[in-house]
Amino acid sequence: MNPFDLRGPEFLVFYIFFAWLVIVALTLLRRLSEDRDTGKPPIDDPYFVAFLRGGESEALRVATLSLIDRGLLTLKSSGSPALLPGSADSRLELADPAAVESVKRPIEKRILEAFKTAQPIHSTLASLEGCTACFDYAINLEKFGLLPDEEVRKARLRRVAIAIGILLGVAVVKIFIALSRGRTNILFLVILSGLAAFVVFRTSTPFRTMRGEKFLQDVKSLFSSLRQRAASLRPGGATSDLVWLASAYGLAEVSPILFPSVMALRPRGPTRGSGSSGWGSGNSSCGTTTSCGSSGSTCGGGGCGGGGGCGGGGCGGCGS
Amino acid sequence: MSSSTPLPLPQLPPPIAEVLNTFLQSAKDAFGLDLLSAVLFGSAAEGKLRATSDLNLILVLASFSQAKADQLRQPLRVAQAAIQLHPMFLLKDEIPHAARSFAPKFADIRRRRAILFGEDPFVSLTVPRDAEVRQLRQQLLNLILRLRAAYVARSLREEQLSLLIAGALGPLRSYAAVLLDLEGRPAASPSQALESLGAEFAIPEWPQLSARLAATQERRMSASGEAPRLFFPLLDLACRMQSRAEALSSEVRRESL
Repeated sequence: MNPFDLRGPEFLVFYIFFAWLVIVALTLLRRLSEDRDTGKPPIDDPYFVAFLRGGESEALRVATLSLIDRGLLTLKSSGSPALLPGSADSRLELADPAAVESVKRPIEKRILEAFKTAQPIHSTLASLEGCTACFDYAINLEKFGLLPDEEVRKARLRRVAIAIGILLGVAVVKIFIALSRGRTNILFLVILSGLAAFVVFRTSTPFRTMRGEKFLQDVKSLFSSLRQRAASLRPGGATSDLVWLASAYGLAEVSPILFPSVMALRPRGPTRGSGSSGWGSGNSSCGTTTSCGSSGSTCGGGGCGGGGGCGGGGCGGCGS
Repeated sequence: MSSSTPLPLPQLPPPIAEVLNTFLQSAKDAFGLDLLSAVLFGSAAEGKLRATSDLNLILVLASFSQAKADQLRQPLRVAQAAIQLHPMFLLKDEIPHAARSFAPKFADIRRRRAILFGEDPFVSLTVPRDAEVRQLRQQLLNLILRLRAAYVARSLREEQLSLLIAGALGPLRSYAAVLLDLEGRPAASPSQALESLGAEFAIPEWPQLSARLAATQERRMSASGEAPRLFFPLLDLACRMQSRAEALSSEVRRESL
C-alpha cells in the first residue's frame, strides 16, 4: 500500500506515526553516540552538578545561596519588607571584605567580588553568566561527556537536519500529489509538518547528553535521603547539606521557612537546563581559573555524648 | 549482648555502601599508615538502618595531622550530605580515656560494632561500670529536663513536637539498652530494650504506642493531635528509666568486662 495514496485524515494519522518513528530513531541514535565512556566524573563539587542540572545561571544561584547561608553575603531589601525577600528590590552585599579571600572556589570568589557593594540580585547574577569560573565548569562537563561538546552538537544538528528533511520531504511529496489531484485541503498537513519539525528539534537537542542525564540521575539517587531531610536542615553552612540539596534537586526543594533567602534567588524565567542545547561560550574575565579546593568550613560531629540530639536543643554533649 | 566480638559486616543498601566505601578509601588515601582501624557502630553495624538513621563511624588513628585531615574534608562533606555519616577521629592511645569519659557510648560500641578496616581496636576494651552508671543517670536526667523545656517552648506548633519526639526516641532506645545491660539482662537490640522496658513499666497501650512512636520517628510527623498523646507517655517512660538507673549499683562489675 502506498501511503501517499491515503486520504487526508488517514494520511495525517500515518504522518503522526511516521514522525514518532523518526523521533524514536533519533533518540536511539543519540543514546548510542552520546553514551561513550569518558571517565567517571567526581562528585565533589556541588556547583558542577548545579551547572549540569540547570546551566550556569543555576550554578550561580546555588553558589549565592550557599554564600548567604554561610553568612558571607547579606540580603538587603530597600523599601520592601525584609519578609519578602523575593521582591524586585532585593540586593546582596558582601558581609566582610575578607570573605573574598577566604573562599576557595573561583565561582564563589567571583560572586563575592560582584557584591562588594549592595547590588540587585538577578541582574548582577545575570552579568556573571559566561564568566571564567562558569566557563571552566562547562569545559569540564563537556570533557566528561555530560554536556554536548562541539562535535556532539554538530552530530546532533546533522541528524536533526536529516530527520527534518525527511519529514518535510514526505509532507511536500504528499502536498504535491494532493494538488496534482485537485485537492487543496493541505493546511493541516502544513501545520503538522511544521509541528513535527519543531518537536524533532526540541527533543533531539537537549541541554545534557545521555551520559549527563544518567550522571544526574545517579547524583539525585545519591542524595535522595537528603531530599527527605530537607525540612530539617540547619542553616549556617556547617555541613554541605543545603548546597547539595539545591544542586541536585534545585532551589524549589529548599524550604523557604528555614532558608528565606532562597525566595530571592528563585529563577524568574526558564533555566538553561530546561531549554535546548548550548550553555553559551562567553568568557568574560572573572577571577582565577585554578582548580577548586574544599569550601574550607569546618563541621561538627565526631564527638561523644548522649547518643543523639533531641530536637533543637540537642541532648547530651561531650560528657555533659 | 555483652560479648566483645564484632558483628559481621552488615548488608547496607547499595547507595549507602557505595558512599561509605568511597569515604573509607578517601580516609585510607588521606591518613595512609596512620589509619589503624575503621569501625562502624550503632544501627548501621547491625544492618538495621532506618530512612532517617545516620551512620556512625570511628576512625582509629596513630596521629591526626592537618595535612592528612585536610584531604578528607571534601569527601566527608559529601558523605555527610548523602548518608549522614558522622565519623569520630580517635587516637589509639585515647581509647581507654574515651571509654571512661563516654562510658554508655563505648559500651554501646562494644556491643554493636563491625570492623570495616584494620584490627579490632575494642576487642579488649573495658568500660568502667561506675562511669557507665553515673553517665547513664546523667544522660537520662538531661534528656528528661530538655524534653520538658522543649515541650513548653515548642509544642504549640505540633509539627515541632513531632520532631522532638522523633529526635528523642533514638537516644532513649540507646539508654534502654545500656540500662538492661547494666542490670545484667542485655536485649538483642536497643529497639527491643525499649520494647521490654515499656512492657515492664506497664505503659498504657504500650504496643500501639510503641508502633506510633516508631512511625513518628520514621516520618518525622504524626497525625493531627497525636503528638501530645505520644509525648507524655514517652516522658513518663524516660522518668521510669531514670528511677531504675538510680537504683543501679555502681560497684558490681560484670564478669564479661
